[in-house]
Amino acid sequence: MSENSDGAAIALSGVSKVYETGDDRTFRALDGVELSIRRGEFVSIIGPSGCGKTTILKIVAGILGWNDGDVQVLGRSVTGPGPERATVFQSFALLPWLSVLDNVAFGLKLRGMARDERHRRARRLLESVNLADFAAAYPRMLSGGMQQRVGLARALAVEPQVLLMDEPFSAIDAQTRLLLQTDLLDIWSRTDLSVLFITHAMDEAVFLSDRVLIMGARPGRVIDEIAIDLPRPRTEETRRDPRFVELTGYVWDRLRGMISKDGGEVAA
Amino acid sequence: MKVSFRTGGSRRAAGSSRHWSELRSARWGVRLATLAVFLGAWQWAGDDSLALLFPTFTRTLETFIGLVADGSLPLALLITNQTLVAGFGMAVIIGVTIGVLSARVPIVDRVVSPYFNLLVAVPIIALVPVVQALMGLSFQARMTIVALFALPYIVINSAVAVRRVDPALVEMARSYGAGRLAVLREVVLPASVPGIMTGIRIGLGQALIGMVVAELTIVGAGVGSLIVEMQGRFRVAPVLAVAITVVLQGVILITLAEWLERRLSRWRS
Repeated sequence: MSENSDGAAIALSGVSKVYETGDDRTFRALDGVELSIRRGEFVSIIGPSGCGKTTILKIVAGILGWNDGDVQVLGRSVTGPGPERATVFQSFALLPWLSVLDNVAFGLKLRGMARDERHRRARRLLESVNLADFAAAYPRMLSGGMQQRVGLARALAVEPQVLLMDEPFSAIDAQTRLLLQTDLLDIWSRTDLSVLFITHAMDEAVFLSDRVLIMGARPGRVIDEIAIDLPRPRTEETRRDPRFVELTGYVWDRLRGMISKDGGEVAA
Repeated sequence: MKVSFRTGGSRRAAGSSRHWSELRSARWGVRLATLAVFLGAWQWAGDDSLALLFPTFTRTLETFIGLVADGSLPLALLITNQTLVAGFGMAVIIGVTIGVLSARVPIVDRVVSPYFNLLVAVPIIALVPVVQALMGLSFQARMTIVALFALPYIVINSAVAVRRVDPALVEMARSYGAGRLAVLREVVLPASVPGIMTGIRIGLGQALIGMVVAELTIVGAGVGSLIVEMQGRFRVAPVLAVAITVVLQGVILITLAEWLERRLSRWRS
């Protein structure tokens, strides 16, 4: 796994994270996490709630520190957020006082791009997520699925090489979610983005990914890795592929074993 | 598509807009009727046979027109409003700054918060003699009293607004490379505008009270002196005319502040 970490998009080795929970007690959220994502690869992390999936993503995003181990993105140690990474959030995290266009341009504004230029680029990205007509709208006027398209456009606008997605579709209704999954793959296939995708939905992880990493809880660590050998491009047909069903079942077997061992932990 | 966004600020369906305009005209009807009843009762209760008796509405109105015509009321209002503008302006600048800082910088919070909690608990009117002893019968003293009335509400509301900013938005901005200052400018301050405006509106109401208190206790050349002078000569109608003018001005200012607050908070609904 680590023999080729220079070429890796994301590489974590021996990463631990300890939270202080007050009254001198600590909580070990991550313990010796090892993972590596190749350039251009789409990797999902799945695991029971509280296993530290989102903690890993925040560490890679550079917005959360860690205690031990090494975190590298594109061969460089992570010391904070960087222009080569962009994150899509579970809660969408759109700024409600800005128009859709200005939300998409937000990352570019922080990077000091002039107004006209960032608006031009934001408009192009809104077209790519089929929201060109909604540039002047405000986020609250949009459905959840549309809001997350804006979140995706905002991330893509900064032209990242690594895309971090923190349960991006978990707050979206089931039908829209399936559409967003195919849209995401469509966009990804036209780029050379490396994607780290956090999810608790097994079918989603299998449908999207090249590899699915399974995490265990208390302390959080990567306990299994499943290569998804479904052909690309993946379409609605893929969901009916017996191999898809088989792989999803396999992921569930691995998770179920862990959850029941854990004493009836059910994902919230 | 665009049209629906422009009007989309409200969630009402287009079909119910007639219902709403009917409701609005009904509300205005009730207001005007109430005003008419009130003025009628005033006219009936008044007695114009002696200057020191409670005046009728018409006599008060005549007196008001006289005070405006001879320039004494406009001049007094101008002077009084200088106190209001200076004191309230100072309260807004200092109050928002301290409120935002105390919510963002723990040490400022620990130093400053006890004093502002105290200012809310203590009737500011009790501090008037203290201010007067320190600053005398001066413009600065009146300005300080106006500011003291408004300040605690602006500080506390600003601090609460900043503390309530969604941490997910701050995290998002940081992930896109925003430093402390950029987070403040691009996320925290815009998100706090509605809450800060609430503090400014409440603070304005308090500043208006402070203005009258300052005028009547630390008498200057403004509305306060006009009232005191007329009262000394037992001329009730001018006193009433001046007092009502001050009240009306307050109502107008508060209405403007409410309108501004709603406008700046539109994205929140």
